[in-house]
Amino acid sequence: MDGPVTIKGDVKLNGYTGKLLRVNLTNGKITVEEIPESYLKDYIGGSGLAVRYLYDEIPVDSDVFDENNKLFFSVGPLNGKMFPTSGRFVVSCRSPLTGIWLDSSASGRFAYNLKRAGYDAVSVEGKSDKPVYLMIDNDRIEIRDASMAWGKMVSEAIKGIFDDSGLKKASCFAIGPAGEKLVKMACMIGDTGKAAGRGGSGALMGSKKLKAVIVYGNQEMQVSDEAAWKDLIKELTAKINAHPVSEALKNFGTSVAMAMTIQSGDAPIKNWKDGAWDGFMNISGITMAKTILRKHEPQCLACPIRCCRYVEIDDGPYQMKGEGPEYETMGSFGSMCLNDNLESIAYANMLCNEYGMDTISVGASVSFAMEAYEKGIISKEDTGGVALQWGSAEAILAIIRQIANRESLGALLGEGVRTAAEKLGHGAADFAIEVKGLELPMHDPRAFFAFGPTYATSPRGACHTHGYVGAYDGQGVMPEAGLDQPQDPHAMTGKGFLAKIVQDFDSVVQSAVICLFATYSIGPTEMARALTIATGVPFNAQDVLKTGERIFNLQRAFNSRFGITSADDKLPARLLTSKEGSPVAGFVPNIKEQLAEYYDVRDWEVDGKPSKSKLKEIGLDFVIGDLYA
Amino acid sequence: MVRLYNVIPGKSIEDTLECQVPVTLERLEREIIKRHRAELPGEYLNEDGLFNHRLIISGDAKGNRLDYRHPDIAGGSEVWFMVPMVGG
Repeated sequence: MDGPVTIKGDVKLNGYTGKLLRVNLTNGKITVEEIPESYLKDYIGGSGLAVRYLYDEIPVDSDVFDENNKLFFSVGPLNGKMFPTSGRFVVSCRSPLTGIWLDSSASGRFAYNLKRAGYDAVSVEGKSDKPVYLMIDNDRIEIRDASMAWGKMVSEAIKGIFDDSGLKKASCFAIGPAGEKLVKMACMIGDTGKAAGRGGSGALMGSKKLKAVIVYGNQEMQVSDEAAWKDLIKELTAKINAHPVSEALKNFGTSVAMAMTIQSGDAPIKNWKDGAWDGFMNISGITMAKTILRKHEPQCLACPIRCCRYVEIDDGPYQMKGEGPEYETMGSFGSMCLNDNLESIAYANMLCNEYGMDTISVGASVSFAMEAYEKGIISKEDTGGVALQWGSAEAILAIIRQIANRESLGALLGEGVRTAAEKLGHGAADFAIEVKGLELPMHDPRAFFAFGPTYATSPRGACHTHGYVGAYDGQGVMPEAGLDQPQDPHAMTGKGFLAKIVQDFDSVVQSAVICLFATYSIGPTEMARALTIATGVPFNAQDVLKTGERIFNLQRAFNSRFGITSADDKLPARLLTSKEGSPVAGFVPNIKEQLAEYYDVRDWEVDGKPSKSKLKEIGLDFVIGDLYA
Repeated sequence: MVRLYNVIPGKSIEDTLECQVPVTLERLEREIIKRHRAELPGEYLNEDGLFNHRLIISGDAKGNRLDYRHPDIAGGSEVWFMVPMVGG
């Protein structure tokens, strides 16, 4: 590493390498270029840096699988130097599943290694005509033959790539057979089961014949104030550890929330149709801790929360060992499909990890298919003989394999529920639960009203991580943004405002890049301190929120250019009816009023575009000509 | 049966309590708080020394909310107290 980037004379911008690595798979050209100072200061890194580049570089008149769609791996100024929960990187592109903006983050050790190899970002461009993997070993960059890994499941492929590269302590993320076959819910998996799950970035990798990226770096990172950095890490680690949610996640993992949904009404049941189900306790993290959970190291790098689970099933039809299912997976293959067999869900999770697929979209597609089967829209002739009965673990596993291999009904489901419903017809669109083509995560806007406007407006479609309002709705505050008291989760007003401020803050979280679970303890003030100490550029809480607003609006502008308007900002009709039989029966968000409030606080036009004055205010003048031509 | 989920941070507690009849939510809460006061975060209690129901949900095994107006909650098989959290 050459040290910090020199900017504006003698000013040093620490916390960055200042370098973008470009790898063109069409011609094999590898270049390193300096990242403009303004990009780093105004967009931080991670998701923000990605949209600043990709807004300019992905043409509007292209197909998602054209060679000019790019895979942009990026980290931020808090990565690479043991900041708590900073084991995360972001991969961004135009989504094969939705056709709009996609950034997806994963934990593990990739971010740490990439930063220490000397890069803030890697842009993978063009297409290879044969299977390859990208090796980044500090400043030794090679595009290498991956024929020994092509066709292999993820864990076997990663093993082969480690062997071939000769790297011992590296981090490797790979696609499985699903990505190779361009399944639109394919993702990359690495570092023992970590997933950059949503939106189909694995399919884009497959279209480029890029099997994996392996990275190792051992160069020292510089921050502006080493002593303050160490004190900050110590202080924030203690603060995160002391938070009740951290303790729950540490002891029971994210799926502890499955038990809580009995009281909160959060998890969806039977493709979002029902309000009550007796199976939640059987698939909660509390039950997992008593049954299949085993102690295992390592967890995510620099993480004091340690929510990752490792499970082993020694007997019966679902024998496996590996990463345990998260809450989202418990929901998608559990309550969504009325399947309370914990071991089968762990097995389904393992299958998706090995094929390289997003468990949320796959599980949501299975439950959608179960409903279509129940309604007689599809039959055994369509399913390859699989009886798609609610609760059938065997049916779930069979359809997972079909999706991964693009066989039988799976070939259709792998396109996502929106496309599947369009092709099936017969009213299937009524129960295709998605926003902008992305299947919903396992959180119900009828339990936490703020999820309504959040899902409707998230830049990548229905998403709980671009606005993790669950950390605020009902319990959290963000006084820096004017949220001094926790909101009633069922308040009829204030949710547009809440969605906006959390989206803005989380845009910075996804750019810094740290874990959303840290935001129970780290707000804009703490983030500003961290960015200041890391970079040497003075940030205050308002700077953080304004930067987040800039990033979020640029992602919106990216989508506007691909045709997204206010007509796309909506919730599925099923979620706008009472969840009868649940603890939240009778509570239905008024999405129309929520969005009116949201548009008002965002200063967006009625057609869904950020207003010209807003764009000027936040430094996005350069998009005005594109949006208002 | 009383279930406490994350009311004591990071713990899942299932317990059977003796309580003066009729069993009201207030009496039950006072008994729980007496037993676990040292482990309860301050913000989980209100100025009356009861649970802060802005943060803690109380309900039966089916998810029906219980509040202080219920004259006797002993008829239900379980009473839940829970600090909700959103998994990810």
